[in-house]
Amino acid sequence: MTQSTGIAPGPAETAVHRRPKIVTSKQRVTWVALFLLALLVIGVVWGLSIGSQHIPLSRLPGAIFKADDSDELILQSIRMPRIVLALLVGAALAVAGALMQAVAANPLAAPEIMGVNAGAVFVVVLAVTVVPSLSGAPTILLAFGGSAAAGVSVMLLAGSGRGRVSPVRLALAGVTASSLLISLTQVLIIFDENSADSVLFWLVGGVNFAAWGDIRNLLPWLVIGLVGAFSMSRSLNLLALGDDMARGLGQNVERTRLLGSAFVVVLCGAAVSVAGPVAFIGLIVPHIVRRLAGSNYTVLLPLCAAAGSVLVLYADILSRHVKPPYEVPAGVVTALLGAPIFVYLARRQKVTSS
Amino acid sequence: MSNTASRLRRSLALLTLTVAAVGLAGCGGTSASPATGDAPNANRAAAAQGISSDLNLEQCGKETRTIKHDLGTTTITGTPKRVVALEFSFVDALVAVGMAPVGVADDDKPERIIPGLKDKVGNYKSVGLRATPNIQVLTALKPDLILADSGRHKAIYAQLSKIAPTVAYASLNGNYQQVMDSEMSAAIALNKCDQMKARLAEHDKILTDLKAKAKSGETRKALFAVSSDKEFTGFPPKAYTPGVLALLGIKSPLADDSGDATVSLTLETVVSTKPDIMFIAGQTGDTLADTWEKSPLWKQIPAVKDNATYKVDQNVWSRSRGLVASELIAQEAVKNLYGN
Amino acid sequence: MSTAIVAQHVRRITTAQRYPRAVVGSLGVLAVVLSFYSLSVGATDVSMHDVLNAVTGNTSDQAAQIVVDFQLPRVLLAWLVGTALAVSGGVMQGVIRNPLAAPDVVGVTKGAGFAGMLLLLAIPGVPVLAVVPAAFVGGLLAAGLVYLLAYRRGATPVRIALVGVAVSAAFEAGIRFLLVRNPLDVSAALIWLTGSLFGRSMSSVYEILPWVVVLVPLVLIWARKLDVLGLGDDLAAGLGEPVERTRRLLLLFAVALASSAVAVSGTIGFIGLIAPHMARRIFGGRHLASLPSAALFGVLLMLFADMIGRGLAPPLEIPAGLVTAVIGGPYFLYLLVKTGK
Repeated sequence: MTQSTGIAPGPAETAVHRRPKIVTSKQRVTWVALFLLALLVIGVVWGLSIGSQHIPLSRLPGAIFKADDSDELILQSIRMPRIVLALLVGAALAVAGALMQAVAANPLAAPEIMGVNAGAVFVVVLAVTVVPSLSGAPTILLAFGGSAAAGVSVMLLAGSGRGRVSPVRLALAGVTASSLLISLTQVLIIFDENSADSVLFWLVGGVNFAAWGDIRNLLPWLVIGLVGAFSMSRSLNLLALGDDMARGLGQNVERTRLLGSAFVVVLCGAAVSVAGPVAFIGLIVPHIVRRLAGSNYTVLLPLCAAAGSVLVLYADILSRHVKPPYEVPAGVVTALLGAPIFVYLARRQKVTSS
Repeated sequence: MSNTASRLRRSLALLTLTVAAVGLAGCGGTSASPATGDAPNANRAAAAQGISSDLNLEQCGKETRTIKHDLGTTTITGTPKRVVALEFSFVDALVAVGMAPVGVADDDKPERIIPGLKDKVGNYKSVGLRATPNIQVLTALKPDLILADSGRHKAIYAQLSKIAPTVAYASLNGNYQQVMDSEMSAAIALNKCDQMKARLAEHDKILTDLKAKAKSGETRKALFAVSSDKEFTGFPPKAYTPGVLALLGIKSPLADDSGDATVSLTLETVVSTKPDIMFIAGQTGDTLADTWEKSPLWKQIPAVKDNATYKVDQNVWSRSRGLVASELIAQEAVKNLYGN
Repeated sequence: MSTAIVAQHVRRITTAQRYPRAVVGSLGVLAVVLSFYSLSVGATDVSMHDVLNAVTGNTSDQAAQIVVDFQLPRVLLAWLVGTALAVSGGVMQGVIRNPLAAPDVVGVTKGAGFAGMLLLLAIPGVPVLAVVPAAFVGGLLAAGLVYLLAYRRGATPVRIALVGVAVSAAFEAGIRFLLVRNPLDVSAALIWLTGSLFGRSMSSVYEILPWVVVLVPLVLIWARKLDVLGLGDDLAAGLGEPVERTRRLLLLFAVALASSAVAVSGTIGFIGLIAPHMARRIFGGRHLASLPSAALFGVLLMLFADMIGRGLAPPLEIPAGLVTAVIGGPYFLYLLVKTGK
């Protein structure tokens, strides 16, 4: 059954084979971490220095500590939250993707493919259409509901509860559920032309309009999600050995799955309700990082967080060059970057079907 | 052998993807909006009451009139009585010549017809969304003229023409000049040239009077924007509303070269364009502008510092686009800015 | 696994399979009745009498004119689009041997949608008629790309499906890029993307008609080959079937059918996915029996969706693509549960 349903040589085998290598490649992990850190620093500086106003970076300390003229205020209340939000959203979605792939034991499980993001968007748009005054913190809670409902349905429907589901089945189920939710969202928008201006945001996602208020709403959930995910790395490593092995080693597999899924919902719901469905981060980042630094979740999850941050940050920087000086959501750029990688991943899946 | 073949295929496929992506970026860059793309007559010298010279005014008063419009030429005989308006600016055109539409594509939201028009419009039948007017309802109204938008209704123009003679103009993305031209051209179609000329003269006078009340040599620049929950949309100088404000001598702070009907702005762009005056059409609920108001940076905008930020009605300032709307816009602007 | 399902279906003989003609016949009658009813449904009242008048060529009064000019093309298109999508989906599911395959899944829909939008947005003032061939070419190219990328010493069915999902996502990204780049009339673009028969006239009917008339019979003639392919590559090859070539040709037919449908109606989802399933539930895996009834189910779904869209909240029109998504989505998810067992 395992072979015939076309399960890819998922984390299970990889982890077993690479285990000894992880130790020897400690240096490699360090290099990857340093590289990401460098990219992060460059990205932050770059992001802080571009915008319609030319502001020398020497104003930065002033922006952080006193912020009393307009340049410093721009840095403090526009560019800094935008960068911070990009970092947070990237980290959240990437870690959620890695978690999801581990929990579902499926390399193609990712928030955007499983309908988790589409679910959050649909619920938020519905809420905004029905109760226009709704915004801020309550929408995050609604988004949790949406993403949980969508993600759980897709998992259950694809039969992932038994832990034996082929990537293709999962992908098809998730993509179908997503497309259903997206058409519903589109129609809500068509009939409520009021929000037509916001349509692109809810279809694409971005951090253009970040404010510190968003970050305050988002941060507690992110901290819960990220800390929770990081604290699970040992369980995830065991889970990667396969259910039976993990059970033999004293793991409560079901609990690990449940907890992992809960953190996915928290991370995605929070990120999507603030930044929209920024595409493909959860799918591609874990794959790239796994390639570079191995499959040990203790290092994989923090590195994913860093790489996700880097990706969204640079996507946001690129997005400002699509139509300067005006703004385009960063999600467009991540979608264009991510889609070919998705194609590559899909091709790489070892399918041994029927 | 098969290995090389498959590698070749793979590179071919990837190449196709890349080319598609590059092509995509390229096309995106060069595309112009239909609205501003086909406005050759916009800057031409005006013949009568600010109307472009190439309108076929010589057709006025004839029993059979040939109307040139954005989607071709349409011949109309007699005086249309039952007219359907598929955009709000055409409702304005009908009211301007003393008529009322039998049907309006009002998005099933009658409140979108502005107060200045509503009482004169009276009872009408809604034909649904402006984007997808219900053709069956339209037919049942037995119109003898349909006024359509040349962008939105291009795809169904042939069908509309089957129901009744249909003339189409840029309304949704039309600028002030295009809307003025469409009013006159629609009047020719309606066989109400004299009424429209009189109305345009009146319009001209109203605006001239308003301009007299405005400060001459106004150097302040006014930004008009619509604020929704996740977007702050600015209207560049070529758009309709800034065109009306320009008549009063109030210029827009946005660049003229965008080629788009609207542009999405961030707070930083707003701050750096330094508008001295802002007219913000806020939608219902908490909008982006409400969030921005709490930011200290908001207070750095000259318009906010000088207390020259005004909330305006989106139906009047951006959806309606007609003579009445432009007069209301100008009145409200003058009243707010110059106190009379 | 999918073969197992097909095999299971083949084994289980239902009442319907015992009387296939009766079932197909009654489906057909139902579709015809629904068509007439649909002609009379809408924002204004058109009596059955007027409908009959109009259909029999007596178009003197206005009610009859409405029927002939605006309702009839939509009903005809519902038949053609429903048939094209359902047969296309049935063939794809047979060829790819995956019950979850469909035009929406393998990239055709999104490719066609992308090409159509690219043309509409990149070249302002392009005649609307040009969108149809563009969308058609887009659908074909997308499917070709999927096949090319999925090809590795033959294109295994599952890989086609998986790569299809990914390529769809890529085109979806492209569509969004275009929307962002040209936000002039987003709601009109969205209506096209959701799929609708709004404002379609006889010219749309003529654009899709040849494809359906030529390709559907061709597919039916090849229905036995589809059955053979369903036995698995090795067995099919053993039976003397040139597997790869047959698969390619059948896929090409399916893609052409789906592309022509998307080209005239926009991206109407789920019909290609669920209509073949409904048919297979009744008729089992024999394609010669299941494809025609799949087509009828497709027609019924389209008629129903368009009717609901026009009749639910007049004068507003709900895009048919939304109705099919609302019906089809849950049904598909139910199918997933069922095939998971």
